[in-house]
Amino acid sequence: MKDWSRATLTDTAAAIASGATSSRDVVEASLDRINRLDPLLHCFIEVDVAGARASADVADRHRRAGGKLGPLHGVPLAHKDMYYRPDRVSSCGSKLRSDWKGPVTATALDRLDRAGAIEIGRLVMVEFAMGPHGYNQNYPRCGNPWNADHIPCGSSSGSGVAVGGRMVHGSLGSDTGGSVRCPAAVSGVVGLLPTYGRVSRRGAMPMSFSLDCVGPIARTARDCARLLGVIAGHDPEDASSLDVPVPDYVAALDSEAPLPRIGIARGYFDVGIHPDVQKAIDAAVADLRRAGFSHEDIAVPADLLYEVSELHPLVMKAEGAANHLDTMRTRESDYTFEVGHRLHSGFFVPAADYIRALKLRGFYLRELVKTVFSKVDLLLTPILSIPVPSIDETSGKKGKDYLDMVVALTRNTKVVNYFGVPAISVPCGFTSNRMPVAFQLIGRPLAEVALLRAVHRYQEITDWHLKEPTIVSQAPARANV
Amino acid sequence: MSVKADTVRAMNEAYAGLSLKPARVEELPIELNQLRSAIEAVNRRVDFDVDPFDFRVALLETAERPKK
Repeated sequence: MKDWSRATLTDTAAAIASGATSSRDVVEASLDRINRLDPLLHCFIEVDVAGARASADVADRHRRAGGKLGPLHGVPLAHKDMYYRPDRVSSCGSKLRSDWKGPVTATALDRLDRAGAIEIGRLVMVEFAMGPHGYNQNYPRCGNPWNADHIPCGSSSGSGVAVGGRMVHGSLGSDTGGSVRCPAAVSGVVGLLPTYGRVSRRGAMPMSFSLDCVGPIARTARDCARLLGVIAGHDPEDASSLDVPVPDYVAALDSEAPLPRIGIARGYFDVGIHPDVQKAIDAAVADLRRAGFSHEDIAVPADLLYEVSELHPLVMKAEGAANHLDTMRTRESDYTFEVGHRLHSGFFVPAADYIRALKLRGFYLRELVKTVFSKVDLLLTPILSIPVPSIDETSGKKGKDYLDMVVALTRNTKVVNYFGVPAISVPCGFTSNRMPVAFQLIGRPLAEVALLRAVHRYQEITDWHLKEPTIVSQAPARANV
Repeated sequence: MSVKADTVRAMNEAYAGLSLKPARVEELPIELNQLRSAIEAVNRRVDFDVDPFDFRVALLETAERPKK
């Protein structure tokens, strides 16, 4: 008897495919864990119990009939509530869309469906994906699975918590300034930001079209590779989609090619780093060396990074304001106070400023590649330089204090979105208060294979990704026969 | 050059049309001046002959090439 909710996505998919277990048993294990933990962690907006069971039964019949099985056949997933299906609500975390249904099925969901995945429910997110701490006044407060008094980070808060809490095997988030990587980091799981345009955004709620990326959250690099392989690829319905071949990310994990060279970022990313975080990062670097990676310190172009960190919000806020102009004029009272306030400044950004910020992106990307990726393949940084803050430490802030809090949570991730390059968040230890620490690996455009290979190799010799929050072991799901 | 509360008030009346409370109008220039400073600080880097789609060119030009 095995509790499948605690197994990786890859192992679970293999067990379903071989008949070692059934999709129905796996779905029941997920539902059981959701029943036990979601009243404590509040990461689901809706659980589709009947739909998930029916889909699982169809999947099991299909397997028994000898049908062709996709790479996610019968595996329960749940996603940030901003991926559209015409036959159900996509709230985007807002009262404004509490009964709204999207016009199309999101391409990413369509590809997951075709791969056999079962969508078990809709996950909590920050309203309109605009906030880094992860809670949303429209819902009961989503709690970090390692300590519910600490933030789950956002905006894909439910995605990080549902995977970290072993309620589902994987999840889609979206990342405009760190919203996949940060929730993954603070929940102790892996989050992947693909290259801009690598994954279609058709049918996904736009926040800032120049920066938004769809990315997976899962427990291991191998799980993320499997999910990315399903959702990546050109989509003629998305104007930003890259028309380049999709590698076999899973097969590449076991490649005999030389390991990527890793640069340890010196400057910008390590400013103000907390001693507990530094200790975990140093240990991760030692483990990477033990795993066979060569590494060197890389002085990053800090002046450029500071400039980019200031340009990112200019682009994000101008584009966000453009999306929300009509509803902000007519229904601002239906926005949460915080998100309404976050949107205000974008309405007063001059068009010339915004366009100049976009004109510079190519320049900054070329400079990053010239100064960093001409010397190493991947750049290692912390995700958060500080221990995961408590809810009290992040709530009730206004004005400059609020902006400073946003910067503290996003400074190491948002610059990556402006460059459009891929990055991955990897659990690598704990601070003294038993909250997760994660490092980030950043690559040049389309370097997802190198990122996933590096993390897979790291996870072969470490066990941080196997650590479970106490809340999981204290509330075990019923074992499935 | 700096953004003042009067600037926000005038722009809101002329363009944005938001229902901003007076205290918010007074507060917004802090953030708006940060955003203005960000772009003013890099004016020297802006190339007249480059358009925003250059980013897409750069993305593919600098992309990882498959290993032989």
